[in-house]
Amino acid sequence: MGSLDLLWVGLLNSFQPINISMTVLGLVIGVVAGALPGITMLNAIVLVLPFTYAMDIVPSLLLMTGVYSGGIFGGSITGILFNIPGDPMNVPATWEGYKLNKQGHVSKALGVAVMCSALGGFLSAMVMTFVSPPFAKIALSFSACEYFGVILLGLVSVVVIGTQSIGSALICLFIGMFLGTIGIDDIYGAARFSFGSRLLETGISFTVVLIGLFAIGEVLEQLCSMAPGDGDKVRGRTKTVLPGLSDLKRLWGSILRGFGVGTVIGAIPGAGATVASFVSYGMEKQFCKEPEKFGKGSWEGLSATSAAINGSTGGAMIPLLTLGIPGSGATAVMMGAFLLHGIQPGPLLFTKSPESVYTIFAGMLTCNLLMIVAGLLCAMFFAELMRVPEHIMGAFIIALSFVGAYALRNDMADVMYMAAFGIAGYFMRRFDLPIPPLVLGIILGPLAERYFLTSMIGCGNEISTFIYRPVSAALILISIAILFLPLLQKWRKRKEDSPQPV
Amino acid sequence: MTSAARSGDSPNSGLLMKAMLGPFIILVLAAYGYYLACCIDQAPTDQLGADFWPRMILIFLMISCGIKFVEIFLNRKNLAEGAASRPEMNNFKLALMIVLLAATVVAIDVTGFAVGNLLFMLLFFYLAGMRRVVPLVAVSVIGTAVLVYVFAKIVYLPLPKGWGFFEDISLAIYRALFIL
Repeated sequence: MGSLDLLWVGLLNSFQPINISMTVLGLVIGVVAGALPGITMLNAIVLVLPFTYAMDIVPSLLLMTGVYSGGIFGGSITGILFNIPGDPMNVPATWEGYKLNKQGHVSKALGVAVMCSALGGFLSAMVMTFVSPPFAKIALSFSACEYFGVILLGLVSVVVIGTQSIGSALICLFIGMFLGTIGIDDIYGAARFSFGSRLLETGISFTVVLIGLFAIGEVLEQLCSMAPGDGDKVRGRTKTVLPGLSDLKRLWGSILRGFGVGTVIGAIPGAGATVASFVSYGMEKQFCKEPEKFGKGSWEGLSATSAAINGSTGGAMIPLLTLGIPGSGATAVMMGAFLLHGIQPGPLLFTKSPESVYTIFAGMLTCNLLMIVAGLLCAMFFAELMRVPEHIMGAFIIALSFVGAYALRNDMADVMYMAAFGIAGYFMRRFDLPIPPLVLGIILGPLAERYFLTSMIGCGNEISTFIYRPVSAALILISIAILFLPLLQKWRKRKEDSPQPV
Repeated sequence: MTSAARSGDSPNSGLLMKAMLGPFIILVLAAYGYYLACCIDQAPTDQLGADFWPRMILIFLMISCGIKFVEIFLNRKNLAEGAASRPEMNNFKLALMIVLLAATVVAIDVTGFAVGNLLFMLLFFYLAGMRRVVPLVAVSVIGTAVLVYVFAKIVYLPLPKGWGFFEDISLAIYRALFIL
């Protein structure tokens, strides 16, 4: 049977009652878990794993892919509504979505996020279905040098974020990267900046920093700028509307670019949705028509990053299904589900049980289409919370932040860090210091260090390795171009504005 | 220099100094961090070592502070506008909120999440301007009960139960909510 015939069989299988109900259940669990701070998509996948023991492999995998796709998108809902990203990968969507919310476009922002996530996921599932094997081979040829190139590409997007003051953006980026170095070093096992303290030796989790800077900082700012009596006001009902065809036509380029970046980066084992979302955000600024709107509420930024995060889901499944190599935490748990059922994912899976593989492919396609409905329903439920008076919402956000930080390692030290970063986040807002670069630094900094040092150890400290490898050289060149392009554009604009001699 | 010129210059130079203070403090801290990084255990001589990456970051941080100094100096004419455009904040309320936040973090360890969060919510709502007693108490009690039930019963999160007397209270709350 050819690919199309197998896909047709897979589609019929995926619409069997047990399979479709598992997909829907997974989506709802994923969206709700992704939206709750402290419960990540990965936690949710791990929590549903025991329930798959009694199921066949196909419904098990469909349940997990539902949680995966829904969980990746779910964090954007609370990001857009309350400025609390559910996961680090939802941070760029939060930057733009929350600004759009503040401008009164909350309904449309939620709709665009759902639609673009679903489209990105659907397109990447199509890619997964038809070009899995060659794609996996290319992704596997990547070494630490190429990984470093990809991370560098994510880091230079700081130029995009720090449009108001490059100096402040760079300071915050390097502070974030420095915070990422605190604790026991991954490669040499040396304690760094821990001053002998157990709390510091375990390092500072970026999730704690994220919750503190975004959630607590925002609540403090809102409450302290509120006039007496403002807090009791009940706000208007928030609807969630899907973008119209004209909107989709306008955002189509951003969605395609986001999906492309998401699928490619998702297919690279270890890179994942977080890197994909930052890189796509940075790339979009370079290609879109209104780059000046980035950081102030850009539809292009929101759609590209939403398409990228869900685009990475299809990409991440490619190495798992074709080569049996899990590329992310979520796919590693899915591999566990395969092994629990006595199935080894890899090339043999395509020859031994092609129908199961294509049912999973078809399930991912339907899952992303169903996500539009499930995502909208969940977004409507969360949007109802917007009607709650601000001070009540503020108290619950702080209480949820306490739980979210504590849940990471069941350690009150994380709650202390979270509160400290919350207060720091307030003062950063007050003194116009950009928070996104700091977050970018603490998330991508440790990854950059790991890949840089691994490359250097592998090639005897020869820095030219990064240039001799074509993919890493290309990625570094693109990063340099992104870094200097805004400066070049500024210089050209200044030249055009200056009076010409007669 | 005339008195007019002096009166025009001094607030600007004051603002300039104030704006430079933040990056200067970061520069000093980065330099101290660099000194500490040099004391990290060294790797074998043929490898870069655990100190390489933080040292490199701190050098870039110091360079960034330099870039910020130049930026501030070049935009010195707009400093007054920037300071004036900042929104008014209630500093007393902010101080109280920060104290409440810090106190709650410390208290939760001793009192447990259920009692600590209930006290936090009562005080938070009061500070935020809620004065009607019934809704204040009702939202705090119901909110805490919902949070404790969801995270302790459904998510199986071992929320802190506190020490001694407070542990007994937490356990009583758990029993009342059918968690135990």
